[in-house]
Amino acid sequence: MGNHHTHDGNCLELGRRKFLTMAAAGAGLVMLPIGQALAARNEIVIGGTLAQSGPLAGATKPFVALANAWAKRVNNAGGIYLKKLGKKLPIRFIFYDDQTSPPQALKLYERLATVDKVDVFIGPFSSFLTNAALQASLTHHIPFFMVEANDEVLFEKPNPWRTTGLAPAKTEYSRTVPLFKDRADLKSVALLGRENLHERQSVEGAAQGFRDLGMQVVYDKLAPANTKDFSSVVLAMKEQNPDVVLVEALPPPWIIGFLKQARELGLNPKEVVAGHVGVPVIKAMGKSGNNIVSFTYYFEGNTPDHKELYAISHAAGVEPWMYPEIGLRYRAFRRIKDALEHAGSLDKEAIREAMWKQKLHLYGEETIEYDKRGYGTDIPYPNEILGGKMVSLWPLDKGRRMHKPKNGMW
Amino acid sequence: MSVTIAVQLVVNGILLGGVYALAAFGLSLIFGVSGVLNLAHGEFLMGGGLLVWLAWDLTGLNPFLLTAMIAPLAFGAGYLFEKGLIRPLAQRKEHVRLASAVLVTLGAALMMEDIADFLSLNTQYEKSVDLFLPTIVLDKVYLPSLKLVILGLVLALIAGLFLFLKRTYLGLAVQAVTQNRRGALLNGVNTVRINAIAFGIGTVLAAVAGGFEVVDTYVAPNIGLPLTLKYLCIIVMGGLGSFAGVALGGIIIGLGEAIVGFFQPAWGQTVAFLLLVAILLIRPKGLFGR
Repeated sequence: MGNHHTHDGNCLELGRRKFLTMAAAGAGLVMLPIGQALAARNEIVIGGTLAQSGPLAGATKPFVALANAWAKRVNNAGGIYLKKLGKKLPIRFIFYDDQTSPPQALKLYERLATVDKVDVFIGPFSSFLTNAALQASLTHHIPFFMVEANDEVLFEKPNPWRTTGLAPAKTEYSRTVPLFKDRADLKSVALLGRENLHERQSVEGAAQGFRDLGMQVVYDKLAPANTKDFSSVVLAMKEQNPDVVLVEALPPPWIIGFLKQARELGLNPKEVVAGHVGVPVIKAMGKSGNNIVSFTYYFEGNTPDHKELYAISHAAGVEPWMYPEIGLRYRAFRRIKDALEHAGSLDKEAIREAMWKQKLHLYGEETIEYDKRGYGTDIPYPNEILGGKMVSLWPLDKGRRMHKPKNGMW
Repeated sequence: MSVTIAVQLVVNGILLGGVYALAAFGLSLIFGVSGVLNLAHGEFLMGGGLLVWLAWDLTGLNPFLLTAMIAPLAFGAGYLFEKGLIRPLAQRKEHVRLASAVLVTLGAALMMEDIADFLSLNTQYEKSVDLFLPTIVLDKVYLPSLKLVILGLVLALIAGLFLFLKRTYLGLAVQAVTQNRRGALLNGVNTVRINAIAFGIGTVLAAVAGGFEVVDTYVAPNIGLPLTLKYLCIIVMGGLGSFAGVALGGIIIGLGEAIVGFFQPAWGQTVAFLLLVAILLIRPKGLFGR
């Protein structure tokens, strides 16, 4: 028994040694990824894709530089404070070119999750790319801050890991259409949208907005995405002689074709409204673009938020009016920073919770928050083309005073 | 619909069809001479438009003048395209050569789109020249001066091409190769060189149409292939190898798009294919096919 015991004891001794050795090795192995993770905690990594090639590239060109300019600004102030870690961490963006391709976008978001091990996702440009990329947030449980995405389809499936800054597409013109309130000379409106879910919903909302102002909708159609000749549409609108013409499309060249042909064929409404107008449209239309009403996701102002937006835009080599969605990108940066600060750590569940509870005050007059589905509150502000650039028409009373009707002056 | 609107629709359709016909002529010429369906044809149009925009952005010169200036470049590009990519396929069996040519030109089209995309990195993606000429109004019918100028230039180019084909030795040689390659060869025509020249001329027509396109609407790296498909519809509808058929096909599609687009814009783009099917059902060889 004794021997047995001794034997057992020896065995036990050996077992202990083995156990301790193995435990130490195991602990080492277990600690290795923790160590790596801790090492990774020296920075906050935000990853996403942007169309730097393909049809949407024209709308997103400066967005990588914009993000890096904002990161530099945050890092110059020491980074983002994470209370639970008791320190500020610098941020770093990783962007890949999704080539305006949904499968490519998903592949790259998978890479961001598995290879780059990002802490949060920032969305790509457009709903259809976001729809593909979102799957990565569900698979890897990484908070996904959607940016230029608000199609209904994105909210059909529940996904607790995503929110968008944008309000539903139907509200897109809800700050712009009231610019024409109390205009006795405006009685009818013609609307044209590019055949796409976002544009369809946006035009529906705008049409309702005009009806609410007491105007009659005399033309309301969609045309295919590859339309280049709008002469028939222009003629059909001319036959209705509308006081306001609204054209909604993204990306913008579609609008260029329509506006040029409206000018040629003498469609001379009192007001022209065009969505998502940026540099390509302004450049293509020259002086005849003056007084076309559009929108951007900011208005001119002097708050610290405005100053930061201007500073990062200039650092990226652009003015914020040049690309209508620059204002949305800035909002996304702020949403991410706010969520991280409220989470106080890089725990993804904590960031996710903070993202949903967000109430972020911006520009001294609005609060970004989300409804139950994950829709945000971002609605663009009206502006107009004037002298080769966009001029803000917000607040509306100032806008109504400043804005001169187009009155057929091409 | 009022009479004025109906007249305006017809005018618009003809103006639109004229520009379609110009680029389709190039595609038809290349197919007629070499038997190659050049799926990169729309890319040459896109390339021509981008070059005109770039030159206009740099110099501010008249875009029509710039379009004329890029013509020799386009000829060289088309000539070299044939020499480098199409000629090596010439020795293959007929069916292999045709299939290979489709794949090679499709590959070239995709590559050209990517190159244009890459070169656009630091500029706006869609390019459009700001040029507006006052519209002429005749009894409530609007005649866009810019489109009239473009149509005038298209007609001048087509007339020039016609004279070239009828009055010059080279033009007659091109026609001879189109009609009977072996016969032309036996009569001392250098058919290999004629192939390259046809590609050069066809590419000039596409690039010039691109110059018109960037003035009239816009060009972007991804417009090439959809346009090639439309031009294919035109030349098949008109009858392969028939210039008169191409002209008529262009105008029919222009008119069809204009009229259908008036009532329902969503169907405007589909009409080209519906018309093609309808005409092929009645005349399987196309309007002027033999």
